[in-house]
Amino acid sequence: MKKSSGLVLVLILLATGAGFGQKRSAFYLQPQITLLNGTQSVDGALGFSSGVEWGPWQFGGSAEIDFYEKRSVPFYAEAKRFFGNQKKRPFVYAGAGANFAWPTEFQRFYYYDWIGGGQFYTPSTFEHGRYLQGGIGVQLQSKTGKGFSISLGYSSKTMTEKWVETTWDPSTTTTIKTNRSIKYEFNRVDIKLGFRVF
Amino acid sequence: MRHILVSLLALTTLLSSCIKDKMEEKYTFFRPVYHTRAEVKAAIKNDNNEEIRIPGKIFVKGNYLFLNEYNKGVHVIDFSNPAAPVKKGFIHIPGNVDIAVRGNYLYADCYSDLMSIDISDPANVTLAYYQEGVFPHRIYEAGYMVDTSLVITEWVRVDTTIRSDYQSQGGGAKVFFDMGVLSAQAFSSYASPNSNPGVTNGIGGSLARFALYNDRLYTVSHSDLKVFNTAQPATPTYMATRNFPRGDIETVFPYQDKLFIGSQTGMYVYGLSDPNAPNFLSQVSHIRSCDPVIADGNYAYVTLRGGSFCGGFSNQLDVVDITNITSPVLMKTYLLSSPSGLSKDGNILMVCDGSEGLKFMDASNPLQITNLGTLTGLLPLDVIALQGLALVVAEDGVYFVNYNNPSSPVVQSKLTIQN
Repeated sequence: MKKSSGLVLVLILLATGAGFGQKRSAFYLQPQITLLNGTQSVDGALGFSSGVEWGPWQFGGSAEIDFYEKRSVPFYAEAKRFFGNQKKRPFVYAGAGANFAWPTEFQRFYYYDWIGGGQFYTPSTFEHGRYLQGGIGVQLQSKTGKGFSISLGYSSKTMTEKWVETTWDPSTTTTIKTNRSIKYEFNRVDIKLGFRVF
Repeated sequence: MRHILVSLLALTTLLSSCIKDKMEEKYTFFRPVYHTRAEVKAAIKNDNNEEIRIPGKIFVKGNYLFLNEYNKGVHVIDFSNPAAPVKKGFIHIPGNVDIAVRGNYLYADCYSDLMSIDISDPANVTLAYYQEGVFPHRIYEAGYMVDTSLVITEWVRVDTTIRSDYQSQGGGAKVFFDMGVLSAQAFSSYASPNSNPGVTNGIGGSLARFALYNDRLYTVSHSDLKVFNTAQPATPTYMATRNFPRGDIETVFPYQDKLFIGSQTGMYVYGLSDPNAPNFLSQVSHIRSCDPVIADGNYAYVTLRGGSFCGGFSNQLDVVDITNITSPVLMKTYLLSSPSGLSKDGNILMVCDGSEGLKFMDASNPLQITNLGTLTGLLPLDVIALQGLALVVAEDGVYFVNYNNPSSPVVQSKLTIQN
């Protein structure tokens, strides 16, 4: 997890440090907005992608704020393979990385415990998960490499919510603390719009 | 470009119906193990191998202590020699919480049923009578509705994983209201007179839901009082039910043709001029708390314990003047730590006071009770005083305590609870 995050950071720094110029750059930076279509809701994600272009390939990393159901921040490495060399360049892409849970206060469970004479609201904790994506798209670009891209794909993010609950144990007539968890897997169809700034 | 966008949107709609959000939930629950009534009845016999694990209510008859093992049965302990009590056996009674002893018969609940067990030979008991469905409030057990044709004999812990489609929770934080403890552990009753010569009633603790008075067995649930005729001790016969206006009843204590009933919000007194139809005489209200009650002479003694499932935060001993039984008056309150069961022998009042131990008090003047001595190092739940010998159920064992010198009580022996 730490290695992949470090790699993404290096790629971003390389891209932002060497990207400004009139010529088509070997590096790219692309802010992007995504419409996430799931079975439960439709939501969005904001982020950017950055990396290096090598022949028909792009290798880079992306970071987003993903608002679908339980807010999170996916960091992932991705690869794109372009076809053709025209203004409209079709591509396929795939990515994988970590999904860092960042739920809002309203997206957590709250544990209400009045045992022991007190009343406490304790929020659940989250464990991070994985992020996967893949899809197809087309890039509309100028000679300098700037331009829009639109893609259709699939993404999946996971995270685990954990909390402690008090369970009545009828065999011992006592309450015991037990762990309860829910691992969420959100699978969405993505429509992604990006603008390559260099 | 427009064609591309339209195509993508159409494709998205099609694909999204194929993709589902999922969740995998892990949690722990307890699952009941059932047996038939015939199997349960066949299993009612002595077993010497059962350890004391979760002691509940206590009843004394002669030199025998009957100790409820919560939801499991009854330990039979011979304390002829208090310095070396002997476990004579264990009677398997699934779902058992309350007990009483009259003559040679042990009355015990088995979830919603009442049974009478012949204990004339404590080492070789036999089932004498079985009455089904007389305690319907016990049909529900730990959230389960007990199958009326089967009996829960044990609970098995299950750590489970459930995979399902994710359901959105919409907006707003989700709060789990953790009800936590609803313990029914350890509550018993008291000595009771008897109109049938030759058949004597046993002595219970202060936290009981079963009480014997003359040839009647009175049982309380959270919301009702039931009467059983025990003139024929082997076959207790259901007589009547009286409903309480509130559903927070905890204990019943028989004293001088009256029943003193402890509830979470007060003490009720019912008269037994007609033993089959207890009539309401009076009540004393108090703040919400756990509340066992005993009576002696012109006073009733009520302990209030807060900070538990009963609610409230008061921990005290209330002394109530019952000289005029239709108009009892709270006379004095003594602050305590975390009181539960209590017992009285002459002028000595014993109170189980949580981590502070078992307190021996001089109650010769109930309005000026003073502490004589304290037995520390135990968490007592209930106590029966027997003329110099206190039988104490505590969290870590059953204690036999000599209090001939109440300022310096001595533990004569202890049966340790197996964890």
